[in-house]
Amino acid sequence: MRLKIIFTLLIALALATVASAQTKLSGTLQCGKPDQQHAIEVGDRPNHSFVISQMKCTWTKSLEIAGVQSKEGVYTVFSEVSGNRSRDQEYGVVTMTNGDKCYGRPQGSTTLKDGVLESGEGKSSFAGGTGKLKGLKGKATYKGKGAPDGTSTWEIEGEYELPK
Amino acid sequence: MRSKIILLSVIVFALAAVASAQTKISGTAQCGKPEPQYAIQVGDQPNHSFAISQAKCPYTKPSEIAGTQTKELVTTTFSEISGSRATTRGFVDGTMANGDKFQVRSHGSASAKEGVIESAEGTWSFVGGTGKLKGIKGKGTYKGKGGPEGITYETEGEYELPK
Repeated sequence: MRLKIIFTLLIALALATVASAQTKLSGTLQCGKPDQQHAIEVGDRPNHSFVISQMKCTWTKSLEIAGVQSKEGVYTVFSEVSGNRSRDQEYGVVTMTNGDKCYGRPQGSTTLKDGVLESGEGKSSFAGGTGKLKGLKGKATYKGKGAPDGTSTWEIEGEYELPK
Repeated sequence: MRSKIILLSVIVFALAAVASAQTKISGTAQCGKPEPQYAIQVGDQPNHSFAISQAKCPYTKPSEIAGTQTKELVTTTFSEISGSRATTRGFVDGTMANGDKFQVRSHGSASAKEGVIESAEGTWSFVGGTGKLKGIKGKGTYKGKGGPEGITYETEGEYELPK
């Protein structure tokens, strides 16, 4: 019986250690209109297109990773647009206030109105970084709303882990 | 014992019936130079980009589906390119000799040299069709070999039509 209790405590301790290695983060990202945007109509039906775009964003509420604040980001997006819906695959390059960078791969879906983003949501995973953020791992969820002028605001929540 | 043999025979017969419902196809299409073609550099490292392109691909060796030959494809492709490697997602709008249409989604990878695709491979699946091809289902693989004038794709797979 005593062995069982010790074994259970060891497992609980191990799980707690793993859980504590993940640090929570949250932030708000304000994105401008895409600087570049290209579209190709697929041709099988109206309003079905492949689109790539890129936009610059600033963190109005910064992410804090390893004590460093996020400053700005550049997001490159592939969207398959079908009518007023799109499925998106992105690559984000986030620059921190100390110049370090981290990379993310968001994937999600958006709703459009008159060709302009109305709302969107999805999941993201970190894909490494530079400097203090080298080896960064983690994941996040995001939700956003667009404005008629093509700008958008995104709320991000997640957790990260850095190698020890 | 006898009932076991009967059950086994029924299962074998059922599996054979399912297998025979799938018809094998193969073909070769020659894609010209992509037009249009767009790319955006991601910015984290040199030669990492997102690209979309579209190409017209007449069949040089048509496939036969439901007694009709395939005529041409229009392929629209997204590629994430990292150096000489790319992962690809495509949507293919195909036209048959009788005007019927079929649609295919593809996923794969490609290698390139000096911006020209050398080879490509991946999988595809039917996602729709019109006329005699309404309700078509099936999947397969493709292999592509590139040159300065475009890519030659060889496809293999199988399809099934509703009865």
